[in-house]
Parts: sequence; structure tokens; C-alpha cells
Amino acid sequence: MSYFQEAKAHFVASHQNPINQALHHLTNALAIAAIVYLFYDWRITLVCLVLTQIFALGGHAFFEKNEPAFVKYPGITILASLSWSFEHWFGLRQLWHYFRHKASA
Amino acid sequence: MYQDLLVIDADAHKIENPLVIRDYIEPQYRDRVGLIVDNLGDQRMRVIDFNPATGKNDLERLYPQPQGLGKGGFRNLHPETTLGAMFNQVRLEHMDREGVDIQVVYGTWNLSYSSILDKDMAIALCRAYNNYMAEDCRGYGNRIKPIGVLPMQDVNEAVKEMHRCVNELGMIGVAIAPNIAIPHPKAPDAFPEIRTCKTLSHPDFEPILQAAVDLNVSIGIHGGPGSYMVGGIADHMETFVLSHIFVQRNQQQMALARMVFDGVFERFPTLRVGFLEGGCGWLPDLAHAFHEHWEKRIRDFDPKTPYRPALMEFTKLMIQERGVHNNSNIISQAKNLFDLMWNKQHDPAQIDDSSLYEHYDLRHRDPMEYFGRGQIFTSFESDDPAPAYLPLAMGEMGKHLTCFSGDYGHWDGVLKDCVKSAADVADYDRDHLSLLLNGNALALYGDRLRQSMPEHLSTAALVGTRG
Repeated sequence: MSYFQEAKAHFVASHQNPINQALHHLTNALAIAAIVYLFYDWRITLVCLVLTQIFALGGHAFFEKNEPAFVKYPGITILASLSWSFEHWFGLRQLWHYFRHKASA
Repeated sequence: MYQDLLVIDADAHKIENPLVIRDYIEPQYRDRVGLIVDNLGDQRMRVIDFNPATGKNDLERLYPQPQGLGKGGFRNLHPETTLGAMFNQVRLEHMDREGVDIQVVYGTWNLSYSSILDKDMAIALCRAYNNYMAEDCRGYGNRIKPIGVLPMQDVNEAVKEMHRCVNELGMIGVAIAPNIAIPHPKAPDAFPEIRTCKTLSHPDFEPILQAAVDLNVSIGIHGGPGSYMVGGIADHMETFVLSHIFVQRNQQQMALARMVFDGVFERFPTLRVGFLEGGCGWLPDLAHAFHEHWEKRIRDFDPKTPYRPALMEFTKLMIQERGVHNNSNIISQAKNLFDLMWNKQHDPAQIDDSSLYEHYDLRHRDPMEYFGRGQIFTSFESDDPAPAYLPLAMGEMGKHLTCFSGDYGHWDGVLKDCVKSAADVADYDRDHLSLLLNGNALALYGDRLRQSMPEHLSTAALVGTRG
């Protein structure tokens, strides 16, 4: 198993609370927005970056109640996090699974 | 003597003369026991026992059990020792020829008395056997030491009989069966065919253990095939060969394990017990298992804080093993499995049940100590090299755990060169050999044996004994 796969498995296991997951999808969307806005208005980029930290750290502190994944896998966790969000269509896929499960129950 | 070392046969046998022992049995029981020859031409003791199904004395039992699972022996008469086992004059000639100075004599028929269901008959048979043996072995230069048998079916009578054996009949120890058959709780109506057992460690038998300590006599645990006790693996074998391979050692292993873990050696730290005729090669393995289970399941065991991994770690490992695709499902699968295995509704920290604390009163002492302090002995027979293994596996204490036994009188015993083959089978140093041939038997049978030995033997050099 590659280092990235290990980091990703650790990331996924560290984000099991649905609210924390939603906050991390939001964080990842804001991170992309921050990069985009860098070319238009650096102040919005700064606001986006501050919000990413508030949402991500808040999710761990108040909902997941565990240590953020980047503590164990610094750096590469950002890639693992983005990969995870893309796989899950920034949360829409999880919602789709949830409602499909509800409908079939 | 063997090379000037005293030789004690710690477990020899009597083959009871059926005509003679009959005279010792009280008349009311005499007609309910007798020798028969079965349809295959083998001698059996026939006992008309109490029948739990009818409530009458109409259950015919043959000893040893002739057929079926756990069957006893057939064609069991040893060509060299049968007559000596019946007639002591021949026995002494054999002892002189082979250099055996003293034989400690257990019986043959009596090995099945503990499974007799009629309590009063069991008491009567034990008394008859003990009287018979005391008279039969009297004389002969004090070289034949009979061991008494106790009616385990009645604890008070067993204690009385032990006192009588030692104080009136001059016996040096008592024999007790490795277990006593009792109805199996799942099939009580099928008793005695389907049975479980209780061993000497059962609280009911506490007065017997106390009496042995008070009288300073050893207890010789002695079982046998086809005796209707619980026989371990032997109970599932339909040939005598297979049954006999397992029966003695399994019975002794169970008796020893129960005595250790039921705390007998803790409550009676001066009690001496011989686990006889089962060999000794298994002892290091069993002792190691005792130690390991004590260490991991008793001393270090904390049922209120069992292992509980972190959910995150558990999920991560599951993701790593099963892959990260579709991982919204794998998270819920992992969580479900985690909750199933480490159920929140049954938090072990909140559960306190006595069944979780097995043998907890023994957590302060490693069972290995019982071996080291001279409470546990086994026996080995001629040409068995196992005594050489014991010090390798158990250290110095391994030299003090087993006694020479010729198994004189039984089909698998050895007569010719029995002492020589026991001594030559491994490269023992003289101190070790002395322990095997006399020192350990003297430690087992204690002062009752020392003080009743012929004078010329009691002054013999006992190299390596620990007194």
C-alpha cells in the first residue's frame, strides 16, 4: 500500500461523523475557490482560507472529537482530502446513498 | 539395591486373590461380588450394584468393563508377575532378583471401587480390601507396603477409614481415584452410562484432604481403564489399546489440573499427592500450560477492562484491507461491525459477574510453586526416558517430581531388569538417579515410609534426597 493510500485510509477513518464530513466537503470547495479567487481578489482568498480552517478544525473539535488527519500525515492529507471529496461529488454521492437507502428501507 | 542405591517401587500392584478376599467381605455383600470368566475367556469381577433406574440392587457391572467405549483390558495377566502379584513369597523372590528393596503396593480390583454406586457396599469393600491387604502384606521383612483404599462415596466413612488404615493397620498412605463418576446434568437419567465427575478437589472432599494432612500421609491418585470413571480421551476409544494409551495420563492430568486450580495446594500447603501410573513425560507441558493460563487468565486478567480498539483505527484497517472505493458504505459497515463486537449496550466496565473471575483467589501464586515445594509427584516405569526431560524443561525442580515404578503385577509392567532399564535409559548422574529410585518416593510417602522401613535399609545412603 502506497503512502498516499495509507494517508487516505487514515483520512477516511478520521472523518466518520456526517456533519464533520459535510464541513470537510465545504472546506475542500472553499480551498478550490481560494485558488480561483487568487487571480481576482486576494482578500476573498484570505477569507476562504480562514473559513477552511474554522470549518475543518471545528468539525474535529465539536463533532468528530478526534485529531485532524494532517497531524499524522502532514502535507499529503490535503491531496487525500481533495481526492475523497471528488470521489464523493463533494458530499452529493453520500446524500444520494443515504436517500436511496431510506427509500428502500 | 542398585549400585548401592536404595530402590523403592512407588507403585506396585496386588492382584487380589478372589477366594481369599471374599472371606473379608461382610456376608451381606459377599454374594453380590464374585469372579467370573467372560465369554472371551477373561477374568472379570462381577458386582451387583445399586441401579439408579430401578432403585434396587440389580445392576450387573463387570470390572474391568469388557466392551464399549473406554473398555478395560483383556488377556491382562503378565506371564512373569501374575503369581507374584497374588503370592508374596514369589513377589519377594522377584524383588530380590531385581534389586527392589521396597514395594508400595496398590491393588487392582480396588481401583474401581470409587465407581460403585451402592455406598454401603463401597464402604464394606474398602474395609474388606484394607483388612485383607494389611494381613496379606504383614511380615516379609517390612518390605511390602500396602496402600489403603477409601470409600469416596461417603466422606465421613472415608475419613474414618483413613484413620483406621494408618493408625490400626499401619499403612503408609491411601489411594484415591482420580475422579468419582456423577450424573451428567444434561442426561441425569442415563447415569451411570453417561456421566461426568467430581475430583478430589471438590469441596465435599475437604475433610479427606485435611485428614491426610493431619495424619501426615500422602495421597496416591490411581485410576485405571474400564473402571467406569471419567477417562478423558479414553472414553471415546473402542479398543483397549487406544483406551489404555490415554486413560491413565488423562485421568491424572485432570485430577492434577483440578487440584491445582481448585486451590487444593493453596489450602493444604503440606499435602503430598502422587499422580501415579500415568507417566511423567506430559508434566512439563501441562505445568507450562498451568503457568501460562495463570499468568494470562488469572494474574494479569482484568475482565472489567477488556481490549477495545479505537473505532478510527479499526475503520482505517478495514479500509486499507478492503480498498477505498465506495467508502461511504465501508465506513458504515465498519461501524456496524465495531458496534457488534464492542457493544455499547453491554459495557464491560459496568458488568460485574463472579463468573468473569475464574480462579481469582489464586492470582497471587504461580502454580509452578506447587511443583517446586514438593507437593506433586508422578511416577515413571522402566525404560521410560521421560525423567531425563523434566530437569531440561522445568529446571532443578524437575529432578524431584517423579518416582520409579515397576508397575509390578500388571500386564504392562516390566520385571526383568526393571531397575536397570530405568537407570540406564538416560545418562543420569548419581544424585539424580538416587532421587528417581528412592529420594522422591521417600519425599512422597514421608515419615510413615521412612520409619517403617527395615532397619538395614533405613541406614542406607540416600544420595541426593532432600529429606
